Amino acid sequence: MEHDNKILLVIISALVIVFVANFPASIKEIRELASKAEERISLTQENLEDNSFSSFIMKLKNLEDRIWNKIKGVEPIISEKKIAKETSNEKEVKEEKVEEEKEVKGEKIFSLPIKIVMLGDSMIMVGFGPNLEEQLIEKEQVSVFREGKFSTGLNRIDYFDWYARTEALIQEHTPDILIVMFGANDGQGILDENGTAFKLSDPKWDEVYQRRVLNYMTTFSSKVKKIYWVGHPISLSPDFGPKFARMNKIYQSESLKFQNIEYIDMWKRMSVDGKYASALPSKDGTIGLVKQSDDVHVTEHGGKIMAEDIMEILSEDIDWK
Amino acid sequence: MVFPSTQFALFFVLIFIPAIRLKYQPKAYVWYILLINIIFYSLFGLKFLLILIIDILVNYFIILLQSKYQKNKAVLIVGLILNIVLLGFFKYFVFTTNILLQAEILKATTFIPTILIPVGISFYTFKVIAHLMDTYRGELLKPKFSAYASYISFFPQITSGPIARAKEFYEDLEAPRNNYFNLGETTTLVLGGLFKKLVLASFIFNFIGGPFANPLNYSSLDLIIAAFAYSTMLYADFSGYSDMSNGISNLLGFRAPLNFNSPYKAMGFKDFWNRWHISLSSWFRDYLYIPLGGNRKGKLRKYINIFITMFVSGLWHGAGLNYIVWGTIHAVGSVLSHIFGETEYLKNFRDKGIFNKFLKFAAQILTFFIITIAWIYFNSRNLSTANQFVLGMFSSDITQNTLINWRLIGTVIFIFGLNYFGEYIKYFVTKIINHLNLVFAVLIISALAYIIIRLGPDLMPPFVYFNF
Repeated sequence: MEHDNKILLVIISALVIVFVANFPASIKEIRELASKAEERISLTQENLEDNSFSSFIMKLKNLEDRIWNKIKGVEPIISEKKIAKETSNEKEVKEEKVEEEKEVKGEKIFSLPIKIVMLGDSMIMVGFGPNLEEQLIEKEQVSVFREGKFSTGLNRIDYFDWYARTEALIQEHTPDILIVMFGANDGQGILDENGTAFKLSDPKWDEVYQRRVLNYMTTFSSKVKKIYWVGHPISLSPDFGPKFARMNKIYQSESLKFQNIEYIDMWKRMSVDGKYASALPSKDGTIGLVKQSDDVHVTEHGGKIMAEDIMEILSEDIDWK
Repeated sequence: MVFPSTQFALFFVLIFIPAIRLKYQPKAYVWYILLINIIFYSLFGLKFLLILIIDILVNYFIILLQSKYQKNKAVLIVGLILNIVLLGFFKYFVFTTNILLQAEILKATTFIPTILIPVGISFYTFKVIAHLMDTYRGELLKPKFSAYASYISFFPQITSGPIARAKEFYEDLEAPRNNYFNLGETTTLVLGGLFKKLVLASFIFNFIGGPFANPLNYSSLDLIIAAFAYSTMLYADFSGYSDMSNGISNLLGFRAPLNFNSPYKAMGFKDFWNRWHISLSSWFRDYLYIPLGGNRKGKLRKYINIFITMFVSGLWHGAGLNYIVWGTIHAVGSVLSHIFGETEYLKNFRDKGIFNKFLKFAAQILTFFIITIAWIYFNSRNLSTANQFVLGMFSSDITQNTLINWRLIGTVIFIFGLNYFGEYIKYFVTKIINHLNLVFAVLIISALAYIIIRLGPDLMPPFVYFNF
């Protein structure tokens, strides 16, 4: 028993030490959560203005974070000014290009070559994302970059900050088109700009989430030529179905505020006469189950069908040649 | 709730404090273990818990019948069928339904419910089947219900194994609590596992998703790097999980089976399966290969039995054609390994001193290469993507390399090195920690834990074997 007690003491001590060592970071995350919600992204963490002792600790922690990031090879945090400068130049160039293309092509917005970035949660990682990427790279002069992260979205940006990541990806790949899909993990309590928490059952949740979506759209619609916002497919899950319907409504209504954001209604497209369909045919006539067992993620077959639908929509805008 | 999480750390501390006292009271401890198993598993969903409870109750009833009608084949067969059907239903529901849809036996308009696969169903079903067969063979006596339920639902092993044997588990429950660990060993297991999963496997995970999803988008060199990266990632991921699981089992007073033993040192497929996921391969050996006749019915039959065993192992991993190819590569490789090992001429040639070292090294490298190719089929979305990947390794239209990253390549080499020298590192770290006084031990362990956490990713990818 003495041996066990020794082990217990070591475990508890180690946990306490690790927790304390990480404590300022936790505090910082909580503080940043509120600011991120409204002011989009605070990319430069050095700018936290606070004269208190906690500010000193935070600065030390930031320094430590940079060292760890350097070791891990995590990309450096980009300064907000640099982004603004570069993106305004890019924006001008892109707008000119869009105008020229519209004149030449008539209704087609894009001519080749074209750069596409696909990003979002696990739907982009498995099933839908890989299938769309596969169909896109079959086209000539189309470069695609796809990045999905499990368990992420626009809600828990304390956990993974898609605002910052999108900014970094735009910087790195300078895409013409963004294809995004979020929300599978967003159906949980949310913090507003003041740090007030709202449960999913609270009608105010929709307002807060709407602002998150609007912020994302406002920020990035000016940095690419077009954003295709993919909505959730129909789900019978008593847990996810109603959440997805609520979120889709928000994506749709917010996208209408932007000329270059198109909401893609997958709810309808993955149903038959508005009703849930377990199995659907793909273009080649193969019939298969479209949803994985969780009724959230799509199967390979379901992903292929979603990708085929999106390719049709993209074909309206892109002159594939 | 996964092991590398704050929630689990807190959960473990809370359950470990009473365990220290209860460990020495077997009658109470067995119920305590069962209680924490139930609490842990219920966190994955109450529906899953219900299925597990029904599974345990039904199988315990079968064991009662087995003990009443000893050596009764009918009871055993009913038990096996029930469990295989249950496992098959959950694992192959989508695959079978798609076949029925394509054959138009099921209509597209038919409502087909979505079926969630209970967490760990494969692993607890393997335990159940092993128990039924051991009871039939007379190797296990009728256990108490509490002991049986604790064994099947043992929380450190329920999600992804290792598949511990009942006999040892019951001995550990009944016997006075011997310590199967010391501070150094346990620390090395838990922190080593954490390091492999959180730092090494999670880092590589970021690079391989793209090439495996759409190999046509990558150069030959990228695909070669991705293939080797996946081989090492899978090893770090799964052996890391097994190490953590074993460390936790040890802390609770249970022996835990060795699940990995430098697998990429293997010379041939036979050797590989003696080193990789050992608890699963020994399960297949004892409960499929031997019942099929093993090596008792002549050489040809032995090779057929090996082939069947490996092929079924492939099918268990997944219901796609790519898994069938993966299983077939291992089945053919294992048969050839046995033939090679048993051929006198080759044996003599192999043992010649002058070539010995070179041949051993060549055999290791060749085995690793072929196993890496096989993993491509294991990890691909489907057969055609896997074929594209393999062909792309030799010829690709893409010339721009995107995976030439020294950290990635360094991590792959590091994991490969761990496979060779991991045991020495483990021995060295264990020895150091055991020689430290308590204060220094706490400081060193805390520092190691902190470094691992900070080197880990913001988002930990899921364990690969959680899907099985």
